[in-house]
Amino acid sequence: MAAMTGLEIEIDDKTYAPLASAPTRRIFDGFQLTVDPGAFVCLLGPSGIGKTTLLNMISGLDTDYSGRIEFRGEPRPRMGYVFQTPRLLPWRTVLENILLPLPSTEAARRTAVNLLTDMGMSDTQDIYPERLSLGMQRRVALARAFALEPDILLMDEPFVSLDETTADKLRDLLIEMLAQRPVTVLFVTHDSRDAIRMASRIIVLSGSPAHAVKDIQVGLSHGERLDKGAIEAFRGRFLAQSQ
Amino acid sequence: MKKQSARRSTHLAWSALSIVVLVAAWQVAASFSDPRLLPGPGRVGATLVAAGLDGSLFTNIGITLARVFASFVLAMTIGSAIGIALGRVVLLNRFFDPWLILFLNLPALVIIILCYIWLGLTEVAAIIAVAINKIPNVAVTLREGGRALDRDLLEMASVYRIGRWRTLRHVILPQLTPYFMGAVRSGLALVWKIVLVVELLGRGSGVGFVIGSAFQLFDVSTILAYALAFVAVIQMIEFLILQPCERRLNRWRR
Repeated sequence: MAAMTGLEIEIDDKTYAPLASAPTRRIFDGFQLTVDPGAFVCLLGPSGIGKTTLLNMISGLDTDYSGRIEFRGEPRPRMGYVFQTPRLLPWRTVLENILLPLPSTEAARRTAVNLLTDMGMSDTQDIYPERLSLGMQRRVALARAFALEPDILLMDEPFVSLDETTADKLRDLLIEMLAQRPVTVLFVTHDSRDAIRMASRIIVLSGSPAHAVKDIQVGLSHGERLDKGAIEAFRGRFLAQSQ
Repeated sequence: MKKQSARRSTHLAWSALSIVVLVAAWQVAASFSDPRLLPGPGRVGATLVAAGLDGSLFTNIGITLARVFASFVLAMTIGSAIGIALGRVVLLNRFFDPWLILFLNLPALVIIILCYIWLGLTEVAAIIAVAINKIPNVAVTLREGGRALDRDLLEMASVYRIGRWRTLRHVILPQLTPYFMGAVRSGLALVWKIVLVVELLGRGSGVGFVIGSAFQLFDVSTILAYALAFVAVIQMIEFLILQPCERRLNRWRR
């Protein structure tokens, strides 16, 4: 099992330079967030508020900001990133896509094949991604993230543009995977039901520059999370005004 | 599958018909003209068989193909490297774009003559001259490919820390394949024509040399025989190497 890694984020300033006629946009100004090792933190907020920007800064894709992002436990943690689109290589098979970030060893191959079997996709391993449905492609992207046994898992609205049944199946799969392979998760979404169903902590972002308006510990049991009524009740109690 | 093979055989039938009509038109035109100026298909065919029997056809085509191959590989390698670099680095492109335009517009003949003057009438000079003619075209095509690389996939490669070599092999090169194949196609067509000129001007062997000698002797039949044989060889390369290659590379497409 991977060592648990926490996160300390302090963004002093993140600004998007003006594009053409659009004015300068200040995304973060003195934003702070501490994530405990093993937590499932959901960042909840409307589109365009800077959630994806934050994930990109954490993953190291975006370095154009002032502030610091530090990892506790592991200075250079292994990161799995499930993007808003699957971002699979269309010219590589499902298995090759999952093997891409792994060392080229027989052991890694076995891990990947077992993971596909666990996720109910053993029959797709030699298929090219574009022949799969979007739901299946997202499943492969999830498998790729889990295959490298990450210390931190970043997820950017990984269930959007799926029908409810498929999205629900993927949510269940994610919860199941996390039970077997615990990892610190940062999950970005604009869907509060998504957040309540899976997160141990929900941070509601609002405003421009963005700041946390709510920081809620979700103490629901596994059973309650599967109960639509309990989710709606929780939503009414804590998140009523924000959505 | 059946449908596809049926379509392919209709296609072949049309091609065969088209060639038969062309040969017939050639025969008709030849029967009205001086056989020294325009020999008919029969006479050219006889010249072809004679050249084939004494072996000179195959040696000369072999020599020319070797030169085509050497300069083609050289041009594709250097041109691709330049093109990808220009496509990825804006500053490089800004600086070298005028150079590229200069070399694109420099007549092949000028490059060939300068290479022979500076490097002597040698094999190396011949191959370099052909490569220099082709490099700018390859660079321009691959530059487009370099510009069009998918940013999402490059980000994925960077987050997953797959390293430079894997990024090149699994993320970048597959995206450049269509551009590369485009450069190969137009390259093959251009390179063999320039090789003939290079051979005509400064080599003592190869198809270009033979055609040059035939020109001195006013031997149109030999000129046509060699030209047709070489066109056939280039078409074989297209059918037997390029097309199967492309089909393999495009397997993943829906």
